[in-house]
Amino acid sequence: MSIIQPSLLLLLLCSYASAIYATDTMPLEKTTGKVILSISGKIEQTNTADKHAEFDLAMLEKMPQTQINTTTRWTQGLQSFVGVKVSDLLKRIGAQGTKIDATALDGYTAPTLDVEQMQKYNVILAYKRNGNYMRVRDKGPLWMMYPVDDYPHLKSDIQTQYKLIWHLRYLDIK
Amino acid sequence: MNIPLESRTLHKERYMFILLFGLGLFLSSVAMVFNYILENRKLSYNHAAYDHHVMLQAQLALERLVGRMEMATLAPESTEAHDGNPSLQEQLEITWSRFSDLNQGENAERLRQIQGLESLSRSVQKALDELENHLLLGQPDYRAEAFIQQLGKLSALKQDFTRNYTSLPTRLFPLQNEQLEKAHYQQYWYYAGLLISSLIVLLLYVSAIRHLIRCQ
Repeated sequence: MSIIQPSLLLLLLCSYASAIYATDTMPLEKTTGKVILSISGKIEQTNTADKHAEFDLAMLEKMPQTQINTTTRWTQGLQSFVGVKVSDLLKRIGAQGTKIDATALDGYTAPTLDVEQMQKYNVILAYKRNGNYMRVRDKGPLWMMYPVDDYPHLKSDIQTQYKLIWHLRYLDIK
Repeated sequence: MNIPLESRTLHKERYMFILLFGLGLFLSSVAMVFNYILENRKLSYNHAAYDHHVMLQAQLALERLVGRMEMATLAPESTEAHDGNPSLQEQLEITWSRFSDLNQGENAERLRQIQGLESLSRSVQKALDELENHLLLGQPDYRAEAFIQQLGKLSALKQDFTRNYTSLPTRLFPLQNEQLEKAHYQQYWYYAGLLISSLIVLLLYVSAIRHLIRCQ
């Protein structure tokens, strides 16, 4: 009995670790729905002929979800955003770079983003706001969100405000 | 007056402390006032620059939409997404969202103070809703009279917006004027504080110097 229990525990731990490893290293599936995010640059996992990693909403929803409750300059009152952590996404595609150029659907380009900062602040790509998927007119389908309320210096920093990109469409890892 | 040496040294130390304390008080008041003025000016210019940026983004989105509509009347296939450009429907929604930034959310609280801007942005959104109704038809006709009329309406609104709002130099933003007025009012109080602290420091100095002279 005393030998079986630790062995079972070890087995469970191993299977959990291998499941995580498998999720992170398994090839990126092809998109079936409308592509809402394309990632290029220094990445290992791609799913298009031109070596891009493309995601539809379903693929993003399969990844671990993170919620951020914060106020923004463009909304009224506290908002609840749900999406995937940028760090999880970068891990999923085997990103090797340290900087990111982000471009929105309308061609807007934000100041260059720091991968380290994305991890530090747990920045997410939100696809839901207050429980609803965001349409383009609601600043969707993807809105890069920092937990600005948790870090007062981010709230007052104009550069961070420029980085809360809505209609996000392209990421280029450098 | 015959003051013992020990007592003289004690007096001197006490008054040296008062002098240093006074000098510290004066210097911190000066630093505080100038820091306030600088920060306030920076914030005010930041807001003006950001608000102008928001308005220019709205103008750009509307320009693009009108351009896409003009293209659609010539080549209906151009309404689809291509070469990284959004479809006509997406461009419409982008424009809608850019104009909602002018009348919704915390940032728009300042923008709403600009006379007529809120009403103009709502007119643009209304025109966009009408256009969307047309686009949502099974097979929208881009050469139909209704579409051409919507194009004309949005072109007129675009001109109105550019002429009366985005072409304004930021120094003319009512927002900034109001902010500066408020800042000037607060500055008077800070200057008054600085004057009072300077007077206190001056009195401390006069009294300390008098005592020091008396001690010698």
